[in-house]
Amino acid sequence: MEIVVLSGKGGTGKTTVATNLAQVLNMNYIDCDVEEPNGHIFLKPTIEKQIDVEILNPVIDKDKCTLCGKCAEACQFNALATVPTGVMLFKELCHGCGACMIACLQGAITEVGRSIGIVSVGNTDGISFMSGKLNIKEPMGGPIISKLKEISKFDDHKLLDSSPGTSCSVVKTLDGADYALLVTEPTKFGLHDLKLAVALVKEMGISHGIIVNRNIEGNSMIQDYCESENIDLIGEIPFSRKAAELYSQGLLLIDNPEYKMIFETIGTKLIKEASRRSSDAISGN
Amino acid sequence: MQLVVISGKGGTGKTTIASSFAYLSDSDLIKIDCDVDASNLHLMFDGEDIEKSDFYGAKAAEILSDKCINCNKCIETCRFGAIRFINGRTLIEPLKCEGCGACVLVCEEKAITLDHEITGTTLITKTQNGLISRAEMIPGAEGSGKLVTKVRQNANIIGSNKESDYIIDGSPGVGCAVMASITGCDYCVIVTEPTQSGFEDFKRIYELTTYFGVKGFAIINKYDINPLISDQIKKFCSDVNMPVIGKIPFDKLVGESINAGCPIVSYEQSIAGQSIIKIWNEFKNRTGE
Amino acid sequence: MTIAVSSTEKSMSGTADLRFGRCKYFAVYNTLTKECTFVENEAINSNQGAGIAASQTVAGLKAEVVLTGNLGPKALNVLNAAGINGYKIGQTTIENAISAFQEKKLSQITEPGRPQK
Repeated sequence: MEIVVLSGKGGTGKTTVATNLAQVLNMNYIDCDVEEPNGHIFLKPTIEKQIDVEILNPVIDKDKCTLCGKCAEACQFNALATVPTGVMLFKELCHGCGACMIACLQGAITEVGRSIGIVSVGNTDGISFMSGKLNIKEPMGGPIISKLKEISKFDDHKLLDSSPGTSCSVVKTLDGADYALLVTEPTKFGLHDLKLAVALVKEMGISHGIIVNRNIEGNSMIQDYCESENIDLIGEIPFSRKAAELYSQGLLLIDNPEYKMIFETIGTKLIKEASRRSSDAISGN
Repeated sequence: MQLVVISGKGGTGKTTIASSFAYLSDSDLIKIDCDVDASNLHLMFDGEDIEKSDFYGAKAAEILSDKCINCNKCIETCRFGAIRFINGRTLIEPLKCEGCGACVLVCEEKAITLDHEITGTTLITKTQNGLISRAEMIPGAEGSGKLVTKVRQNANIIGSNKESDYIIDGSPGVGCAVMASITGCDYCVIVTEPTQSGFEDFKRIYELTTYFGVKGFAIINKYDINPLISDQIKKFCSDVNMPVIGKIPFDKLVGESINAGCPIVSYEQSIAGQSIIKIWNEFKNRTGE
Repeated sequence: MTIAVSSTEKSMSGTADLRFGRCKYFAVYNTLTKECTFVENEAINSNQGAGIAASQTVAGLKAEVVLTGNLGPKALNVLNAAGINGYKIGQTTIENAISAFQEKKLSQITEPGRPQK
């Protein structure tokens, strides 16, 4: 079972939900929010190894290069420019696609890895922990997410913590998931961005359910939305200043008995719905 | 003057602050929502979309099935796993395609085209508090950085007749969309919260802003949730010489104001609103804008 | 000598574009024949690195001089490597920009500027 926790809007509680659920469900945790990874703050893992994530950048052999300009022309990302003195590479623009190497008829291009971030692997309280971190000033976190997915591919019981929004990083995180758990809050912003996230998971054909974080009695905007769209409501986490304070200190909410019960209830329902939905998907219902 | 409001961590109050600043300044100030995959600023103002255009973002490859001989060359070449052989046909998954064109280069049958695809809509929204330039990205689309650049260009077109001021509501994170929002700005305001996550993300976004040479100010939102971490953030700011131009107390009215679609500073009794008014004045004093 | 000017229109009397990477056209002026042609700037639609692609275009046009509002760091880098000098213009027309350059009234762009507001 591969479950992705995402949200549309930032700061609605993805990491809170993912870290607490990973513990109560005994599922491996993977932090895919590589621009701002925070799961480690709450899970306090022991890190066993760190792996550099590299993308391949072209290296041009000056002796073989005829300055024909084909490589720069092939590059859709404008990472190469041909000038009379040689070919210039703007490495932070390079996506590592290899198109320049294909375009070069002289065989003057080889590739070399360049580090754009790091993946940490470890464990905490009986579950394995993984997280990726993009180097500052690097624009693209995609390859780090791909790396996380690659090294965890034989893990069949895992929770992935996504970045906010609905951009390409979220798509990479969702790719191949069995179920998407959307975390939102009962505000106009939360609902607006939730709808975008729902559109994305629908487009990708991934079964999904919703958690309302900071739920307030008497405000049922998210519950109403779930009902009208026929989306499973997986759970509600009540609004409380206590939760905000625990979070601020980097503590898991399940350390508090009241919250432990809430997360256990949510966890049970999540596994039930996710198993049902994914077996529906397999049997084609 | 161009001011960008950013945060690193999501949900710390960027839009609450940006909408308040927009409300407090005169309506000539042009508002730009650069959070293109979760744009919320317009929800705080009653408005009407007066301009709407398709946005052609990143390129994407497409296979012409009548020319494709299923030779697999493209599948082997694509480094993004975007091409698959399904039900007897070679297909490109648009959400995974980065538009690099490597497949086009290896296809001997010339069966693959590479074209700009529509990845969103850009809008100009007219409100009582002036104009908002914003966008709605198609969920899952590639190239949010380019859309951010476009939204800023549209704002420049509105403002080109006079020396206009701009306020930009940024997106969370430190990646391409954030970089496209910061570049060329005069000032940035980083909104953080006194949580371990907020502080850690604050340090990363601070580091990013130093590369862009933008004058930065910090605001600590909900500072009373954890006074200890608030102090740590202040200490960090003073060490790196970034002024903290204000602290905002936790205030339940903020959530209500969002749901009412009114900037929090329009609530006279709001303690958060009162703090933001002070912060805006402090910002103006310090910058002379 | 060939001069490239970033332009908003395909006309000598048209307004110069102060952006380089994302200008609409390049006015390419030959000082010997006094002829001016206009070339579309394909870099305008680039996802990224428009300045690099635009520099590549003007280098391909054999321009020796570029007249524009600002040059970003990457564009400046490519132009320098291609031996092309950039000169700064303000709000003006293509023909006035060219005469100002010929009268040596323009200053060379040696530092990357910020993106145009």
